[in-house]
Amino acid sequence: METKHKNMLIISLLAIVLVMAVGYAAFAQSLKISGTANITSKWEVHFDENSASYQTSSLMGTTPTATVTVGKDGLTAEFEAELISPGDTVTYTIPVVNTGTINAKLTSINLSGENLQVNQQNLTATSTDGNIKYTVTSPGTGVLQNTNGKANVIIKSEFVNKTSGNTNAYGSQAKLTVSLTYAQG
Amino acid sequence: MKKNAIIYISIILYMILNTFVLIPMRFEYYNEIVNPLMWIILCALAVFLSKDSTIRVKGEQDKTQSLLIALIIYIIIYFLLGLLFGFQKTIYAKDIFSVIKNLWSFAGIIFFQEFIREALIKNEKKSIINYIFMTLLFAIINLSYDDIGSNYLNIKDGFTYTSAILIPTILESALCTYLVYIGGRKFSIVYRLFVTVPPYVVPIIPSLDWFGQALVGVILPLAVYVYMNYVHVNKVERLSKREKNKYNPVVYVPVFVLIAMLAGFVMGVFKYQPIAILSGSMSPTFNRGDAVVINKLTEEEKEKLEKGDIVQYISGSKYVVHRIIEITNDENGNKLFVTKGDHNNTKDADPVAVKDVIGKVSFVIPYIGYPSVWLSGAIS
Repeated sequence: METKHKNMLIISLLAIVLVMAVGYAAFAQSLKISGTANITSKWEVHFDENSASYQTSSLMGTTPTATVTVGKDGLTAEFEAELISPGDTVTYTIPVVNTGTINAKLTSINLSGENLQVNQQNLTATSTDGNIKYTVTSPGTGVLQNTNGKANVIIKSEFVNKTSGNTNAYGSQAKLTVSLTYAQG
Repeated sequence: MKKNAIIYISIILYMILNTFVLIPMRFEYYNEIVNPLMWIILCALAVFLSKDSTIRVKGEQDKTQSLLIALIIYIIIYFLLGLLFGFQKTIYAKDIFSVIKNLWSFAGIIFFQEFIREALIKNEKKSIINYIFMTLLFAIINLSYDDIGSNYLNIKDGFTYTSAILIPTILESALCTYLVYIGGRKFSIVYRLFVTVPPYVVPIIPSLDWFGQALVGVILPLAVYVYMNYVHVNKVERLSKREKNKYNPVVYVPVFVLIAMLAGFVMGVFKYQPIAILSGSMSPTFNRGDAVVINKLTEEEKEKLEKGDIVQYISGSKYVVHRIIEITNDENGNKLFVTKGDHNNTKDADPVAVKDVIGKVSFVIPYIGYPSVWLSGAIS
C-alpha cells in the first residue's frame, strides 16, 4: 500500500474513533456500566477481614452470634447476625485499608440482602419481618492515603422488639451485604 | 557484554530495592516522584553505556504508518467489545490535573524503559540470549513482581492469572523487543502507549472477564507481529514475490477470524454456548466429559419450556443441566420447574424458578468437554 493511501486509512480510522467518542458521549446514559475495574496491582483497597471485630449486648442475657465474610473483590462484605431475643445487638467494626500505592476515595456504599428492606440514603436495612435492623456508619468520603490509610465501617445489628411486650427468646437472623466503591482520591 | 551486564544488574537491583525497601516504606509520592526518578537514573545509565551506533530503520515511514493503522484498529475493536460485554468504570480520577499526573506516573516510565531496551539491543544485536533475557526482565517489571506470588495461592487463581496477565505480558514484552529491533524505541513506545493509556484518560473501559483479557492480550501482540513482520520483510529482505507472499498477513486473517469466532462462541457472545459436563447425573443421555450446546432462552421462550426438556439453570452458585420432569406453580402462581438428572433416583431438592433458567440443551458433542473436566478436577 502506498504512503498516501496509508495516510488516508489512518485519517479514516481516526474519524471512526472520533465518531465512537461522540457516540459514547451521546449514549453514555444507556451504556451498560457495571462496577469498577481493578486493573492495576498498584490499587489495593479492601476490607481488612483479620482486623474485624464485633461486640454483642443483650437485654435478656442471651448471647447473639455474628460472622463477617469478605468477598473476593475485597470491598464486599457479608454480615450475618443471629439475634436471640429482643434487645440483642451486635456491633461490627471492620476497617477498610489502602495497601496500594494510589490514594483512594469512597464514591459509593451499597447495602443489599435477601428479605431486607434497604434505605440507601440513611444506610439502614430492616428485615421484612421487622425484627432485625442494620445501621451502617460509612467510613467517610475523605481520602484514604496510600501510606496505609485506614477507615472503619461500623455496622450495628439490633433485634427490634416488633411485638410490644414480647420478651421471649425466639431467634431471628438476617444477612446484610455491604459493597463499597472506591476511586482514585 | 559487560555493558549489558551492568544494565541488567542495575535493573535487578532496583527491582529488589523497590520490592523490599521503597514500596514497604510507603512514600506519599512513590508513583509521581520516586519510581519515575529511579527509571530516569536507570535510563541515563543505559544511555551512557550504550553503543553510539544507531538502529538503522529501512522504510521507517511505512512501518510507522502500519503500526499506527494496526493500533487504531485495535482501539476501535477493543472499545466495540464493550458493546458486547458491557463497560466498567476505571478507578482513575478524570480531572485534568489527575490525568496528567497519572500519565506521568504510569505511562511516563514507558519512555525510560524503552530507552533502556533500545540500549540493550544496540549493545548486543546478535545475541538471542540478550533478546530473551530482556523480554523476560521487562515482562517481570511490568507484572508488578511484588504481586506475582499472591496470584498463585491456588490452581484456579494461578491459571486465570497465567492466562489473562502473565502470558499476555510476556507476549507484549516480546513484541516490544521485536519492534525496537526493527525500528527502534519509537515503535515500542507507540505500541505501549496505545495499550496502556486508555484507562487513564477515558472514564470507562470494556468489562472483559479473564478469558476476554487473555484473548485480547494474546491476539493483539500476535496480530501486530504478523503485520509488522510482513511490512519489515517487504522493506528489508530481498525475497521473491512468492516468498514475500508467505509473510502476507492476509494469509492469517481466516485464522484470526476463526479464533475470534470460536472465542465468542465459548464466551457466550452468541445465542448458542457450549458447556462441559462435569458430572454423570444425566447419563446415559450425555456423560461426564461430553459437551452440550445450550440455546440461551429469552423470557418468552422460557415460558414455553415443556416437560422432558433438558435445561441449564443456576442453583446457588452452581450451574446445573437437568431434565424438567414436572411443571408446577408456587403460592403466588409463578411457574416452577421440577428437575431431575436422568441417572439420579430422586428429583432435585428445590424446584427451579423461571428466572433461574439459562437455556435449553440443543445438542450433545461427545468427549470434547474432557479438558474442562480434568482442569476442574485439578482445581478442586
